[in-house]
Amino acid sequence: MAEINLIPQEAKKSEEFEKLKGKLTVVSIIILVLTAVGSIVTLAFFAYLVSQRDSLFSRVEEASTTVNSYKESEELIVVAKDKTSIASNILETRLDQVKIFTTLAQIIPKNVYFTDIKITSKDTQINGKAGTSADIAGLVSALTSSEGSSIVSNVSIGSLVSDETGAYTFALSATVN
Amino acid sequence: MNLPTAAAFSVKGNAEVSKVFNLAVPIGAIVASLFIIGLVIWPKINQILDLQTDNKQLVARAQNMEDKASILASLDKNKLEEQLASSEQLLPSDKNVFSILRQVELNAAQSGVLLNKVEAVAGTINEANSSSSPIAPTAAALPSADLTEDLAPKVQIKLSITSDYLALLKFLSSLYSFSRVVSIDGISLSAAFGESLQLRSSFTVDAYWKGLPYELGSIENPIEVLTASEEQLLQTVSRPESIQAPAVPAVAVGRNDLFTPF
Repeated sequence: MAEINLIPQEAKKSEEFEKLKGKLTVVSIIILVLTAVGSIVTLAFFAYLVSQRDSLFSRVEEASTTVNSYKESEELIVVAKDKTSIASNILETRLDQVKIFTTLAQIIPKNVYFTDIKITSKDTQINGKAGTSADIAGLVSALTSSEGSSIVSNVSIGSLVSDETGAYTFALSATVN
Repeated sequence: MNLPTAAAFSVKGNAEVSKVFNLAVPIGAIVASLFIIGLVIWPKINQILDLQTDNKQLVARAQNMEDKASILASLDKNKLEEQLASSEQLLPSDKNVFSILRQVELNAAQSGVLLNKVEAVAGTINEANSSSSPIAPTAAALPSADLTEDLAPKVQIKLSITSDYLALLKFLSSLYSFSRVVSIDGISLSAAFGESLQLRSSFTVDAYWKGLPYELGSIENPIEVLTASEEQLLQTVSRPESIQAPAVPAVAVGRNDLFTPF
């Protein structure tokens, strides 16, 4: 009697198998279709990018030929620009001693004169004489004023010695702006 | 019901084989799809990513070159030649030592300054051009004062002069009016009290020069046009009030004795 019951079980198994096979077939078809579509899209996009690259190469080559046709102008502008920009930088950064002397002449007290001055690109040392201590104060005040600050900063007095007449010999240094 | 077992097994075995074959087709299709994804699509995607990067760079290169070509097309060649001549006045392509010496002598005479000593640190006169390498566009963008020396080579002329104060100012102003770019460094003044106040000064005049480049560099280097201030500077040089570099006069040649004083 046991064999009689085998038939429905087989049929049931067969039915389950058919279902599984059907599902697997559907999944495989979907994957196959997706793979096929993906392959076509990928290859098409790849081909598009390759053709785009080729056209870009020819665009670069064309621009390069155009630039080469203006080589003479390029030489002129490159040399002129190089020289002018360097000259411009030097002119902007060079120290204007005439301006320093002119400004000093305008701001120092009348009873002050200089015996020697040394100006480098970094600092200045000034030796001179002043009629009174008030004149020295006036000199320092002038050098630290807005006008004086346009030419020097960090003013320091190295020595300040008076003689029997009350005149002061001074030595001061400052940083050139 | 005595069924033959061998036949039953055979039927069952055939059914199993049939099942395996039935499943093998979809499984094989899935495996094939995975192979295609792994061996074709995935490498192509990587190639696509590389191509996209390359294309982006190519677009940038093409754009730069086209911009450069359009800038170059817009330039007036005659004006450029004039600007180059003016820039040559600013920074000559060789040292021009004797021209600057002549200029200093003439200006000293015109300013009423007595030249006590002129010492030129010229170095090699026929030195090769300074720019053996292609021009780098960044050279123009160096802003610091300390870099002045590195910007261009220079000829140094050390001067010791005697003059009154106003003549000295006039002489210094005339030096700064040279069309050639010069700077004055290490100026030292001391007063000499005599019948009239005289100043003894010594300083160094740095006269700059810049050799022509041997090559332009890469064709893809961007082109830099002159700024408004640079164009103005070039116009200033070509103005008549600017002191142009004088020609060194020709001298008589030929002697009988090499050692007789002149």
